[in-house]
Amino acid sequence: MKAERGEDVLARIQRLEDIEAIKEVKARYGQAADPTMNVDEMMSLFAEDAVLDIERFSVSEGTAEIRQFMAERGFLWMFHCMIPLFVKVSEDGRTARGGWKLWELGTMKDEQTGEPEAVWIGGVYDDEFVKENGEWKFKKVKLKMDLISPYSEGWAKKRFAF
Amino acid sequence: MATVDELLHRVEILENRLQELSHREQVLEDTREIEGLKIRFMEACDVPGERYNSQVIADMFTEDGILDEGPDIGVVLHGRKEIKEFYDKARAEWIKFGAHYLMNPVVEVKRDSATGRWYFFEPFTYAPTSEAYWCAARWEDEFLKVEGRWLIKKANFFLWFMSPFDQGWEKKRFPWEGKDEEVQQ
Repeated sequence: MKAERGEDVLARIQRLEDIEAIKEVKARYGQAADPTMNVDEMMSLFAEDAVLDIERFSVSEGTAEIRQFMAERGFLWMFHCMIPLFVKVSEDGRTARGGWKLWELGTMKDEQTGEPEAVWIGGVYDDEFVKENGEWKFKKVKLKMDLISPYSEGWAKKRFAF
Repeated sequence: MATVDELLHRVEILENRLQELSHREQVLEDTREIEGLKIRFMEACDVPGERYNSQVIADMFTEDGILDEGPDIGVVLHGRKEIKEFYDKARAEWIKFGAHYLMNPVVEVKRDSATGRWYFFEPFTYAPTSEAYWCAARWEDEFLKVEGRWLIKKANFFLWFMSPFDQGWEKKRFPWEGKDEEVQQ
């Protein structure tokens, strides 16, 4: 009976540590991307067979495709604010799911003029995580976009810049 | 039947496990407390009617605490008195309205000291001209546990931009940008 209680406390502490570690992985995603992409730092957060699904951009499967996307996407400057919604760790403690609201400030090249342009980006992440050798990594990053609006026009006039 | 030595050995194993669990639980509590401290700092800047509660803010720092506003702003405050005076001035002279947002926390605890990083975003109204601004930055802070209470030892503020609302961060990154040229002309 006492041993069971001990195991229970251990499992509860482990769960809290897992949740903290997963929140940190998401915060580090922002830090790796901002203000300009550090591709190696970003890739250290992804599992081998991960998927990156960014609505209105592309779906990348596996680290080679994700690396290419991270290196080439056309932001000149970024600031990712991750607002936590939930983190849920599976019963066996090996996988997890997490949701965040994204509020991002960015600078992109205008598609027509090629000039740098400030943009607002809003969206929702629905991510999956896997624990590899004691470290939590992204198995899937899925971002659904609510708006990608040029600063000069705002979201009422132009909800999506492209 | 276990011998006394065997029982003592088992007790030692259990004590070690308990110590490890207790340490892990303490780290979780400390992390939460440090995140809470930083959130209360931001709250103390924003509460309507009590904006920039400078005494509450100053008391969150160690006696000799430092607030370094970073190379772009160029202000370094030493000790609670200077920190309090800075926020008194912010309330009285600089900021008419402000909303301090704190995001992406990464806190690392090492027993009685810790580090913490956050993203920071603030829409505010600059009092002398009543102009609306956005400000984005990151905090990189050091903490110390003093008599059981976490305090800020050094807060480092790195400004990314401070841009007028009507221009945005691409057209004008800092309010003082272009000032030198204007003076020369």
